[in-house]
Amino acid sequence: MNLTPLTPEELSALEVATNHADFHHDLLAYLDYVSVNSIYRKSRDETFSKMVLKDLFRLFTSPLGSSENKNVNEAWLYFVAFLAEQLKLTDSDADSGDSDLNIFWSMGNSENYVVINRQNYAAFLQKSPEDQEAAIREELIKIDYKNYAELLDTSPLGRLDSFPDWLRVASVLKEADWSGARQKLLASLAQLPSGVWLPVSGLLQAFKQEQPYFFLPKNVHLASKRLKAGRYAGLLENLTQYNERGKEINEADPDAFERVEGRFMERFFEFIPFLLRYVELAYDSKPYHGLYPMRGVLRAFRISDRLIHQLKKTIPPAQMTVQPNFEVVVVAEVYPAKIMRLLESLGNVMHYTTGQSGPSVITVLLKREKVVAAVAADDELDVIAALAGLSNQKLAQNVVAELREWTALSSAFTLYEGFGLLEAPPEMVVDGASKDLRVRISPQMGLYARPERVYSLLKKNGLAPLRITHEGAGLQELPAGVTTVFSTEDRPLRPPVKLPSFTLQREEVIALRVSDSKQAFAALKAALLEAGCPLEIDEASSTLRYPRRYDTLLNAVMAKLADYFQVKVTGLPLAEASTAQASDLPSAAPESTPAAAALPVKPKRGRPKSA
Amino acid sequence: MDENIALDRMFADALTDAEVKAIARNRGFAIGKDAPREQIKNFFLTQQGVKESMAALSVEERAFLHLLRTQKENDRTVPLLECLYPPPPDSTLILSGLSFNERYARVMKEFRAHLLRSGLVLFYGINMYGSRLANFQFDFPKAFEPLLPPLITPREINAEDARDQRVNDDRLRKKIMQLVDPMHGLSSSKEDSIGLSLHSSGSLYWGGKPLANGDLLEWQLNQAEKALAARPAHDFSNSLRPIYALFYVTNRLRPEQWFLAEQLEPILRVMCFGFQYQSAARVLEEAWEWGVLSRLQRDGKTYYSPRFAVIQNDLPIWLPLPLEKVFEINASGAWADLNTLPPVLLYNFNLWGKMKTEKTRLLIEPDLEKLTAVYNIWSHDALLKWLNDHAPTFTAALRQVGQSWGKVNLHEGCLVAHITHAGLRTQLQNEFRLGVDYVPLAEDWFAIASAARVNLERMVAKSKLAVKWVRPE
Repeated sequence: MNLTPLTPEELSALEVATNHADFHHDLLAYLDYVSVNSIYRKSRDETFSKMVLKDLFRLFTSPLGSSENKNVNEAWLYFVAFLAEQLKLTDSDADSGDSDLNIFWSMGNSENYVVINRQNYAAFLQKSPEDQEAAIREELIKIDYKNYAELLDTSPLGRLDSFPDWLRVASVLKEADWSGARQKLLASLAQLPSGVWLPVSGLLQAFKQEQPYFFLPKNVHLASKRLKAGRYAGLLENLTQYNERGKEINEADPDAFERVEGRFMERFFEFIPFLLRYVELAYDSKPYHGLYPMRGVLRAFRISDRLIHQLKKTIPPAQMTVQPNFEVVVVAEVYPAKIMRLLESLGNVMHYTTGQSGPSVITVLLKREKVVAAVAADDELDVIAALAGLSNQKLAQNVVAELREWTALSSAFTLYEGFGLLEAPPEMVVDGASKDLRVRISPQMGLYARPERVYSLLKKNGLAPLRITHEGAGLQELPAGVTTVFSTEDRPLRPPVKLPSFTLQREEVIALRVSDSKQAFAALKAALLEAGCPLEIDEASSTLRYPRRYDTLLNAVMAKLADYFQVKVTGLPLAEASTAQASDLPSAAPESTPAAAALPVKPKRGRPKSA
Repeated sequence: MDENIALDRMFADALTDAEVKAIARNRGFAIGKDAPREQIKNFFLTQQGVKESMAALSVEERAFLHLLRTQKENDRTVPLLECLYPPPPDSTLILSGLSFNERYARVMKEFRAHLLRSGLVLFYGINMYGSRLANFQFDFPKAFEPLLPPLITPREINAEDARDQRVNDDRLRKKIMQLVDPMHGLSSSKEDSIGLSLHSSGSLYWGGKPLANGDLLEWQLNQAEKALAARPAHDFSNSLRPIYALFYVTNRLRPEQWFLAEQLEPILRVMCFGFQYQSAARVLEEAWEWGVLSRLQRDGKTYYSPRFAVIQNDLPIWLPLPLEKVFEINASGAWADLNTLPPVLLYNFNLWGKMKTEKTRLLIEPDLEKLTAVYNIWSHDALLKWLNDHAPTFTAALRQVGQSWGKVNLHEGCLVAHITHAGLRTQLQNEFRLGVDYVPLAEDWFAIASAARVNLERMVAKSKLAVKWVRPE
């Protein structure tokens, strides 16, 4: 098959589409997610909740690269989920719901949970990455036309429309050899050169001449009365994109092959080759004016080495390098699932560049806390050996030294749960119990695996073991008189008490309590404030308080008030006016200040005597 | 409401000047009755003069204070005062037609004139909808509770002099006989469906659970209450049911302390306001019928005394009984006749023994596991002490338990941490509570409470380390 490559001028008029997502990676990310979360699908439209979508978007690669498109991302995500179900890696399950409430929301349709099929998933994970990728491809090839068909469904990343859905049962399409056609097309693509833009029309013409019945068989078995249009009976073209009855394609038309098989081929490119990043596509950038479903819009394709390598089974092995700066760089044509499973447990993925014609490059930065956690969770994991075994270069000395230190930290904090802690003098520990001894903490203390059995043994041997169950908010206090390191009633363990400290400032305060006249209280208050005296005011009991050192201000204020009120002083006598007045004290305010406003009008009669 | 806030409100706008002065006078504040309101307020919550003021209260007022402390905050409102200042008899119909203010203005007036002035009650307004009167609330300050005198001044008659006292155990006895005949004494009433049974392990069960302290008394009180059938008033539900009021009044009395129906009468009148019962004498009679009280005739009067177990150190204190008459000791253990056995002892048996029945006899044997659990308090249990002295099986069992008790301890339900990182050890000791969250076991070993688990994991993660879990295979 010889196809003439597109010239740069021809290509420049086209719009190139590239898939940046990694189907294989996303499928595994989805399966990992489902294996720990049971996902609920709404019964009305089988969609996931927003929360689940958000989680999965975070885990998935993005088909459009940096330019996000929610619809495309969602379509991609649901297609990944669809394929996981086709591969029987997930099931719909009725009983995995979190609560009865969800059963209620499912309106009686209880099979709305997506759960992992543990057995198949484990078997899938056992496969090599190449075999996993091949399994995905094989599943896509053999998908039944009732579930997905190029001419009847839109590819999650496709731009082309489809024939109306009812043709799935009411046309010759049900007799088409879908799997065979996909197989043949992929096989022929593997024979073409990679890295050059080739015309779709060229491939179509080659098939028309060499394998005209690669898709629809020569003889179809539809009822004769419906075969007026020949092999293409039932396939309709419309002037608009809407689903109305249009004109049937007639086998006798000279371009009938282009109108049916041509449409199929364009959509096939949008399906397996594009989803699996085997090709890049180039579309006509001009607006479409032909009959619908669209045809001739997908003009060219460029095959990647991935396609050739995968179909010819000549995939180069993944290359891994651990750099001295703790970055691990993995270069692989097929998503290196096993390597990544290890690396993701040891560090964070920093970059993931999905390759188009060449391999993908993944950079992972090793993190101390992750390495410590991974070794803590798996005793048998030897991080240095595992990385050295996978790396194609010797590990740098600093990396080895650091990893050794991190590994040692994994047992810095070991927690034993579910054991019985036995405190007893060695002579009282019965022999039979040693079978369950897991750790001897001290001669008097040990951790035992089956506390129930140990307890019975102790009792059987005539001992009176105290059985203490530490439940609730804290450790139990043991009865007085018990020999133990735990807190007892007569010897409570308490943290050393730290007494709270405080500062006490002492000062003498003068209280002025004004009885009988609210007006006098207001005037005294205003005058003292005006004189700069810091007052504590209690309106309810007509009391003013101030530090004793301000007491000298009172004389001047009182002298002024004497013009307006007759004052009787009880309790402490007024302080004598000091000549050596504290320099920091303000002097009494002149009469013209605002404080004067609080004073009543000066009585016209003579000045009343002060007592 | 916080007592200090209540106090501020009380002195800010609930009290008149005359009331403030009366409170200062009745409490005998050293600052004198003419001191400013603010100062009187500051002294209010101290214990100054509380005892004297309480001594001056009437029995009814004291009963009201006791009732007040049993009430929920929302119920300590003006209608509760009707218990202390009841409306004139036969006025129910008239009262029901009155508005809130019309109905309670009278009780408020009485309250302001008497109890409020004693300076023992917090009285303040809350900001709710409704009239000012409906928005008043009371509280009995916590600091005054220890000074609240008992409601009854009993007459002391020692056990020797009260030998002719009569206790009616018949009804409880019928219940106990269910141990040998499950259908025995079952009343036709569906409400008495709780059964006493002997489990195959030798423990007594009360309605499906091991017989607990107070189960029998609760049953007796419930039955007496049902028999009394005191009906509550339809528009008042905050007072106590007569039998429970009786229990409240007498549960601090000792068996040698006796009282008369007349003493109880004014108390029940306040505490059981709204309930229709004949008289205090009738309540006492019913309580006696169900074995809650003991009865004694002296000087032509009928005295009563409580016969329920007083609990100290988790053990019921029972009457000094001639135990040699209760038990028959032989090699297998201690035998007691269910027909004469003091019912209160059953709980003690359940604490440390296992039981078997034979006809109407009950065999009590020591249960080593139970004895281990109560060994530290066994010396407080006079019954067990007596059995230790008289029954060889108990002597042997207690000696056996005593040999290893407190030396062999099996702890479950806690985590054990092995921390080799010095920084984490210090952090644990700084951030967690010794004795409660953790206990050091050995150099780098710690027992840790399960409840501290989340914070512990957080602490480890903060140090960029991980917890290594070890669980039994």
